[in-house]
Amino acid sequence: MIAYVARRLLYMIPVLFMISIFIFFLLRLVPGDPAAVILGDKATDQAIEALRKELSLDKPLTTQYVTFIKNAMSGDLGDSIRLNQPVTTIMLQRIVPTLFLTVYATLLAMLIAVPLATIGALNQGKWPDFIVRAFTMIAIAMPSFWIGVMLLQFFAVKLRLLPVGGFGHGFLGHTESLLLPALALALSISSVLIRNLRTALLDTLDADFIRTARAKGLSARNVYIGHALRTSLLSTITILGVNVAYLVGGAAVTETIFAIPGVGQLIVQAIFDRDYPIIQGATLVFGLLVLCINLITDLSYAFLDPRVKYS
Amino acid sequence: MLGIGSGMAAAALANGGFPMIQTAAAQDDSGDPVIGGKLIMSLADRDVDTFDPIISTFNMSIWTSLLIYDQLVRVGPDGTSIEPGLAETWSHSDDGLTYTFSLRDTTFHDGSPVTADDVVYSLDRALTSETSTWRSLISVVDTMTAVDDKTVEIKLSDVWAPFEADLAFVAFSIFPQAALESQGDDFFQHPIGSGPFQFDTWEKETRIVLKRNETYWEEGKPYLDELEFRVLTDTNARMLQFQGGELDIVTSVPYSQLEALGANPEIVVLEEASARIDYIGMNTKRAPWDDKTLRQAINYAVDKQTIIDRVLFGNGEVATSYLPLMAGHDYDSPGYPFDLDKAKELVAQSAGKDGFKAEFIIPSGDTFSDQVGQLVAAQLAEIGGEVTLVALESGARTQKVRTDLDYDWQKGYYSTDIIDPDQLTQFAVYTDGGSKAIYTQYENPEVNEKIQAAARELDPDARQELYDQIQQMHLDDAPMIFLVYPTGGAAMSTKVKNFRILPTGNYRLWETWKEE
Amino acid sequence: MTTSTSRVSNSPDDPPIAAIFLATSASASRNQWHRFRNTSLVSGFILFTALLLLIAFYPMISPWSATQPDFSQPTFAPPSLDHPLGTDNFGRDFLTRIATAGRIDLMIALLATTVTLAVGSALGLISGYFGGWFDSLIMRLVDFTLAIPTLVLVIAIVAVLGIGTANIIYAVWIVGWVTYTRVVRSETIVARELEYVDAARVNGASHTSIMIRHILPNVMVPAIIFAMADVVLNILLCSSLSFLGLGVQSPTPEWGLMVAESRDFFLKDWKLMTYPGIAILVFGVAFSLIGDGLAKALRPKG
Repeated sequence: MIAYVARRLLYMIPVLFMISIFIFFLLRLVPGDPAAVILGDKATDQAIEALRKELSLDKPLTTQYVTFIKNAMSGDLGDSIRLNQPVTTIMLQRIVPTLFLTVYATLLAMLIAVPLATIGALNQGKWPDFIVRAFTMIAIAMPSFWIGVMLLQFFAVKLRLLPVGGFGHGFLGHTESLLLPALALALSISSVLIRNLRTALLDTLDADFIRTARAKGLSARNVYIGHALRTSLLSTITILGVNVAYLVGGAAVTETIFAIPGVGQLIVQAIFDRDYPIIQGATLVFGLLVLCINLITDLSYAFLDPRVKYS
Repeated sequence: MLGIGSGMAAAALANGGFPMIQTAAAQDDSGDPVIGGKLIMSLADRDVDTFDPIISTFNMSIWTSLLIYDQLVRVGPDGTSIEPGLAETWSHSDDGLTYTFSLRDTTFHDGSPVTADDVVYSLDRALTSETSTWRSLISVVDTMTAVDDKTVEIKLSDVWAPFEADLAFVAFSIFPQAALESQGDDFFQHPIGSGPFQFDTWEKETRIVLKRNETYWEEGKPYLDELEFRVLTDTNARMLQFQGGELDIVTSVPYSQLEALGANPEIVVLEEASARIDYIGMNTKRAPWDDKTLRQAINYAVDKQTIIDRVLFGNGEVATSYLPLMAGHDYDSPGYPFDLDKAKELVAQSAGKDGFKAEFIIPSGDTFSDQVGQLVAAQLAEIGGEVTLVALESGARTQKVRTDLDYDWQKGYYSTDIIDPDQLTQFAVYTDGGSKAIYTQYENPEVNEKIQAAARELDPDARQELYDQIQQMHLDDAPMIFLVYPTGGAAMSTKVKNFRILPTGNYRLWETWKEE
Repeated sequence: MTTSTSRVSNSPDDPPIAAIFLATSASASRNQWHRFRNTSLVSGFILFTALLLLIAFYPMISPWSATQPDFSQPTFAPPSLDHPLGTDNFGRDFLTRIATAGRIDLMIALLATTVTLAVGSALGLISGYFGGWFDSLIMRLVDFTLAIPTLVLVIAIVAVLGIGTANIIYAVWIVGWVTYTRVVRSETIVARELEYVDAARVNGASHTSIMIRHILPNVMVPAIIFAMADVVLNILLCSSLSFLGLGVQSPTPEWGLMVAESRDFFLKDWKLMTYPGIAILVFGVAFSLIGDGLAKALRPKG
């Protein structure tokens, strides 16, 4: 097991390097000069040149890359061209709303998914199951930018029940402000969760060890809760693991609509602004995050299902 | 108009030498000002990029900075005249080459007094710093001296008619020399000025909070305790927050929604004219746009009134000159009225007689430009034009239009921050004005000459005559398609009193108050 | 021989997600879903066909243009006989626009999905069958592509290639093959250990013939099922891009673009934003139903 983990960690290094090179050079392929974009249409040519020099954009590409990597290894991801702050500071600030939103959305999704999947599995083939499956189909096809605006208009504006977007202050404020966006995201996550959870539940309900547990005299309810749920969480975690990476990157549109100062919106804006340091830094951090999440997911899988072993 | 300096000539000069323009009627601001309270307003375009006004060219930055800093003089509440700022009084020599400013007694937000040295230092920085975008604006300045603690003398190398109007521009804000020198660039993360509001917080990309300057030199003002500017670039987010009661004032309201908002008795829709023009720039050094007749034909073929009716929902006027509705605008200019027959006639004699193709670049994500583009494309099909819309995001657009000058047409707009027409003319029409005549590469030597002459003409009538000629010649050459002068686009709660958006786009929030 | 749920993994590259898919696929045949086996597929198909007919034929028979502004018609009109879904801000018939947009969206989604399905599956098949350095390389590439946030990658690619329909498809090709490769590879790894494969090898069958004739039909099933969901995801991606201003160009209608364009009119006429969203939704449901139906119908017994 240790060897497995070690190997996975080792494999991360070339991948991270690949990512950094790829993003670095891809960015410079994209048309548009950061200095010109930052300064705007009315800027003079001299001002733009001066800014380019200040940002070291006039040095050869390889020099720029080496500087970037050297600094990155000591934890310095450079300064944002637009915000004039260290990328690390900005990322730390902006990741809080996104993480909050992601965890919130995941929890909501589980809250929705577990009961619905259970209903579906237990009533397989009957009307309740049908409704559950209809729900999943509708939920997954709903465009987030669309449902977001609908929710806002109805709950926040018409009913004035919730704040209109933003992040709020304090834990309670965050919970209030992020309820609608988390709900919007949770809808699509939950549909994937429901389908897989339901299938996994149906599967394990049949499995040998469940039958054995029953034979031992445990009540149906205990059997279900104790064994099936635990094993079924496997699929949930895996799907979540895959989805977290998608979520964090894909929350951008939701963050824009709800005016949440998160990392998704930061990156999209940075791309438009050609803010290289942010894009490079954020991509590296993400890459690391996703690779770690994958590893953790795999490990927790081994932990939860005794039948799976790694060597 | 406040009396400034001495005599009519000075008064004319103080106004840049132009008659006043009527601005829109005021809303109901009766009642006594209420002291205190917090006002929340949207920043619609983007967050402030920097509080260093010598670098920034973005409206949000300019308008917010104007609340924190003072300048020697500033634009009056009617939006057309110059009134005292840090300079209580000023005068100039008869030859117009020496200006003397007497500073009032006031302090910066950090308590240090505003001295002539600070003025000289700040202006010098604006004029000589390498990163200063606005250096060339008053390049005629020769020397600046702090005669004593409260007096500044500025000598010009040449007569400069727009001088006072230029000095009111935000790039010439006055900073505390000691603080700026010791903190360097860091100063602008928490800037210090002497303006009505003091910097408090800047949560990047989210909001900016300013607090009342308790020692502001205008007695009794500002009324409000606190200002919060929320960065809300997404239109729906902005409108939803306003409707949800979380914003007091919302800017950049979609034109289609203004009517519905106006019907609500708790909302006031602001309809002020702004000094802005929307246009389509043509690359005059690329065939077939190098043919003047074709450019004129295209201008006749565009039905601007339909654009105003269908896209602006009536909130605008047909553009008749490159100068928006501001000082210097030629109110007698005929523009290019929509005339399809004339257009067809001209096209037949032009390089486009067998049809023409244009790639029309618009900013991506900009609904207004998108709709204008669709209408214009449909209209030009009538004279054999095949217009394809190409939406580019800002980086790509900057590259193609600005850096490479590799484009056919591009949608643009500009507004003025200065009430004098010189700056805008040099920016938009003058060949070597730094933007290559807004990338149209327009080059008319006679026009260029007149532009330089007009900046140096002190007689207001002669000056207006020059600008009239410039506008006529530019109109005739038609390096752009003259579209519209949009108006309005903001709304606020009826609780907000005495709030106005000036034609220059900024707002004198120290005169605003909020009812309970 | 190892069953799907008791694998001992030797390679660090076998993500347990494969086990999940295997578990799902293997279990399906053991459950009594035959009662519903055809309902999903049939209803999905019917829905899809109805939509297909709409978007294929309505633009042809409609007297209205989907792109030309038409001010002889009332703008923001409510539904009427002339205009079943009313008109938009330029007086254009809304149903014609939605139907025309459907063509674009469907074309993009199908083009994008079929190529990623084919290429991704091929890579997964070869990778899973042969293993070795090729497998490692492919898996590193997979890790790499997954580690970069999809939206970022797509936006960056579009920024380089330029805005436009073709470039969206290219961008999806570059990032979309990954899931297919992972899924097919995992299935292949299990399938290659099965008895009949050994038998075929003993009989002298070539690698290629084994891969194509024996393994492929089985491992493709989860890939095809995912493809149904992927079509929907691609439509959503394309819509999101258009929504951000990076997708299809005006005046060509596209559902996401229509939602984006209608944001400004939300107070004035909310239907302009609602109908395109519903269109995306309905298509999504149709494909989900088909995916479900296929999952049940195509599952190999045992």
